[in-house]
Amino acid sequence: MRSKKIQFSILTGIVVTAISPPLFADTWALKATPGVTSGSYSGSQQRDKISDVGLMISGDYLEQGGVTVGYSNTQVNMKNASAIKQDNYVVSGRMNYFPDGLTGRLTLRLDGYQVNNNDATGNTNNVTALAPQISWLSTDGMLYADLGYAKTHYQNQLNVSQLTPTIGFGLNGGADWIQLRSYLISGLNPVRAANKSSTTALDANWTHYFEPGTTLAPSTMSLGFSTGEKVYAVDMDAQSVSNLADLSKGGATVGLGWKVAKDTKLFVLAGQTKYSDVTLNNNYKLNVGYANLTIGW
Amino acid sequence: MKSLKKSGKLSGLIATLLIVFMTSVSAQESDWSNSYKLETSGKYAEAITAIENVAVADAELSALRRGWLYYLQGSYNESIRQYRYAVERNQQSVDARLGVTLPLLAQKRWREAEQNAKAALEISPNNYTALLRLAIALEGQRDWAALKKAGATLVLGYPSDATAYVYLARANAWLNNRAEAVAAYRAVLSRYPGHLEATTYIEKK
Repeated sequence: MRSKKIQFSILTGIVVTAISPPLFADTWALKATPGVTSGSYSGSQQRDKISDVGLMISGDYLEQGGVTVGYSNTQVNMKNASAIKQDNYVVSGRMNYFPDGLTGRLTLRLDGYQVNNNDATGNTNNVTALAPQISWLSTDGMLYADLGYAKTHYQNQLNVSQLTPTIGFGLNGGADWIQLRSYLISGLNPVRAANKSSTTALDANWTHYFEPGTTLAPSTMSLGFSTGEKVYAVDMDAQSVSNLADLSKGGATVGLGWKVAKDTKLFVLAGQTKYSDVTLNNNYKLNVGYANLTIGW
Repeated sequence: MKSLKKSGKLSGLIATLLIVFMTSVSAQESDWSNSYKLETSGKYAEAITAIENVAVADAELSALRRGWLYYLQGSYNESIRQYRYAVERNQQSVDARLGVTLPLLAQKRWREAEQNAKAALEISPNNYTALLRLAIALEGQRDWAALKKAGATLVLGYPSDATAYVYLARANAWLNNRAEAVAAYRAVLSRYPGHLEATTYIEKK
């Protein structure tokens, strides 16, 4: 009995110590990122507008690893039908390793996604995805590579596989960063994927980090280009599943970031993506605006 | 006669033990000496092997030395392990806390390095090396406000040190406090005339 009491006291002590503010703040870096997206379709016969509101919460224990959980609510307003309302959930875990032989940081990451919506066909409802990724960042932070894989399960026996080999590198002493990611998507059902059984796309992104200026001056600027075709993609940077989209045929984005306060960053992005609804022979565009605020503590 | 014999045996035993002890002490000294010599010639692996058989009493020193030699060899994970072992043996060891910051900084594990530098400062407040390693860890995290604070502490404790002013200047430059950055870089130039970073910043502004 006494021994149980002692064990309980020790356990309580450990838990209280672990979550007590000073120690917690020293070991865990937490951040919350609320984000909003608003977009309108141009030239689409069916779609009118899209909006999304979400929150990601992330915690990293020193440099050893971390977890992220996120939720967002998406609404796609249709022109001649009721809106699709969707709940998106993500849970992600990562572990960092620093093997001496590799001179850099190796990260093993696993994302899990769950998407539920009111799609009348049921085809895009109850979607689950599991996405492991292995990445490496050189010690000087100037070289990066990752290999991501995603297996997405859709209703009515559709299992989509995605491979995303990625490289990134810094230029001008790290003031510029280029990232190239290819999307190799296979396992598609042509009937449900614009007559495609597989797609290939390449995303290129350039980020420039500005020297400190006035408070209003942005700290980062990014330009993104996407070429090729992709459908049912899992974006492991945005941590989202494109279960509702038609065949994407490329696009471009421009983003700006501001360091608002010591641990607070604002990021805004505008972009246009071309889509094709092969069934209706309808090519259209989505013009989108996105903003998020990252608050760390 | 019997007691004389006994006394003679005892003396012999003591003499033997003394010789064994002296030989052992001498061997221990020789092990350390060899290790230091091998380190000087850059043979870090051999320097580690040389102290493999040191006495249990020297386990803490041995761990600290291994931590250092593994760090020099570039075996950062083993270095961290040795320094952590030294911390376990002696929680008050500033040596071990500072030692472990070296492989952590080499691996760019800034937050873990920061934590250990702060732990060293708790034991030894205003310790120059701990403050410097803290500054490096904060710069790595781009935590300019905290770096400014660490730089100010360094400057206060070590007013003749140019490096202290360099960190204070960098923090102010990134915080866009130009006047304070220029003042700190001017202080660098008084202590280290011709300092490239200070000269470049002042000329640019």
